[in-house]
Amino acid sequence: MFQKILIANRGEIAVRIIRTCQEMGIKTVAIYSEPDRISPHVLKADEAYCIGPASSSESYLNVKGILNILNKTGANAVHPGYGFLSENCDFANAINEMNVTWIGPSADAIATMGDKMSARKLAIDVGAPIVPGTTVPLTDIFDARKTAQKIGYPILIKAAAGGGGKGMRIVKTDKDMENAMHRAQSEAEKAFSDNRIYIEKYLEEPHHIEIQIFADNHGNIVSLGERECSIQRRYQKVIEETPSPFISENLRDALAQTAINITRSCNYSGAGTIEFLVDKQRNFYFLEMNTRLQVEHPITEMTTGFDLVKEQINVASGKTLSFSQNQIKAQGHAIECRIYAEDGSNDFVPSTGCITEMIIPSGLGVRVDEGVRVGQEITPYYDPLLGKLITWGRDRQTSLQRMIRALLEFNIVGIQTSIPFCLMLFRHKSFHEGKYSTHTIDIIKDELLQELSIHNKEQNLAVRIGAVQLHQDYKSYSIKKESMEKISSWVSSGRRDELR
Amino acid sequence: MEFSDSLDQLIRKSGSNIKIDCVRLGQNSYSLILNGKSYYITLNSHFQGYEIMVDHHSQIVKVQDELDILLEKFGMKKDIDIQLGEIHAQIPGLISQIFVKEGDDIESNQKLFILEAMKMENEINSPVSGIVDKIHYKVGDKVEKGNLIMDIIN
Repeated sequence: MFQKILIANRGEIAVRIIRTCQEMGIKTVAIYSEPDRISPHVLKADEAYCIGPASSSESYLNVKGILNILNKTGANAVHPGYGFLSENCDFANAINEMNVTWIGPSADAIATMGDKMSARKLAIDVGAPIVPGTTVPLTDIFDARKTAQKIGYPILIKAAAGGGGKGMRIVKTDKDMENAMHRAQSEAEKAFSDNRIYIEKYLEEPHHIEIQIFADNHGNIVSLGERECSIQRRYQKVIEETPSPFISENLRDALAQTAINITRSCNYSGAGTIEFLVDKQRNFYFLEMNTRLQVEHPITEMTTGFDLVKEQINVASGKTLSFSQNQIKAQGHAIECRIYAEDGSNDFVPSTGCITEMIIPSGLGVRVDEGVRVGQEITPYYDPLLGKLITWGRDRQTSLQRMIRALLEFNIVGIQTSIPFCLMLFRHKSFHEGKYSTHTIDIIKDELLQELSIHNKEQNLAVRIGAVQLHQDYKSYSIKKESMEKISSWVSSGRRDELR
Repeated sequence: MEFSDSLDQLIRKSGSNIKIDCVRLGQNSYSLILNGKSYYITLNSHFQGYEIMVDHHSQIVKVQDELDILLEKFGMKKDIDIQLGEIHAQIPGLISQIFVKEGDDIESNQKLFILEAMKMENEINSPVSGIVDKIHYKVGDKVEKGNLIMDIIN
């Protein structure tokens, strides 16, 4: 077993990994960028090293710097988390060359499944259904238009190299094609240094359902069930749940079997997720495979009872899987709500600022994977995910009521968060009835926005009293109104170039 | 919503007998027990006033001092009022493209500029129709949250 693991990540996932390492008696090494100095992962790790200034390219993506720290600390393994370098084969290879274990699949598996084109090809070879689309990446608007017309609008433009919704655009008619293509390519170039795009048919009321698989280095592969991730905005997931209220037992089995077949054919090791789109008629199509641990893995942990990070570490150290397919029995219902630093009432514009207070919910069936603390400055350099709230209940109704209660309790002061918006979402009948798709947020957005403001007389009075009291306190402490809008110090320290 | 800055006046205005117990918890939060009902009130600063949140519902509230009321009476405003045609940056970022120029006739929802931040290109559209009056920044400029980017007049 490893003695020391370096976590090449930040925020909530770094904390997550450290927690399991601590339970396993493994020492942890954290890396952090300058603004992340008081981040929880730094405070919790055994060792911590500054890897560079704010910008990701100079810090969390700074391969040379990370390898230096690896050398210095003598860590035996690296856990890359998700995002950043987690699906970067060059980094995985560099780690292996240092005789350090990469906690994840082989560089080959990452390369094959990381390229959306080759992944689709592999799926076809295995007999998995795929969404109609291009099999070669495109950069030319002419080719793109021709392809789109052949597939038939509406179509979806996606970045060949990336995920997280970057570079994605829906195009409904031919006249919108050129503009959408430019936008998408520009975003993809900036996010992944690769402006290739590919085009897919856009499905009607699709459900995004994924299967968690696990493989060891001894030929064992299992499925840990599905996660329903259809509530999204800007192609980023917001809410996930398991089991999916939408699929039947038969469909579940078909998805699991397809996922296992795909996993086997790419010589996989460790945790992986196969994403599918399921349309209104319950036809399923392979979308992509994520060769890493996913953000939403906690809901699978809550229903199956297994620690997936622990399993990743075990598999990477050469052990066989600690569970067989028969031993995996999902119990109850779990829901996850991602907490973002965003203004839900203002088109989800990212929010920055300093967290001055935080009340984290707790109690039976409530889990919080937090990545921030009070006093921390939320900057625009990284993904705006602050943490995750996960609830579990014996049935869906209980889990949902618990989620609503926990969200009411959850307060983060100093920045805007997605908590109010998500609260309205969970209270909406679409979610209650389990009848939603990836279009849902767009459809009910305006309805939810109405809910966000105060329309209760008593709350109205409470708010006014609060405002007046605040105003008086501000005056008596001689805090000028201007200081409330004061730009936080990191901005004025001259690193403005990093805002790109 | 404006009202004078005294709790006594507020009570009088609400016209009923109310019991207020308001305790400051932290820099931006209060515990208010109003006629026996308990509220946890938090604040987010907003360039249009105070954004107060209760039970995850929020409202923007402006509080005026006697001085503010007086100045307004004489036509002099202490604070700058935000009008609908003022386009402010909602987040810090970089102006990577501007699609209009001063004097242009534009329609509601028309593309104005691209604000790049958090690795995303945010397309900013006009909330009103009118004429572009002044553009205060140029392509390549970095802006802070709240900066006035351009004015649109009817």
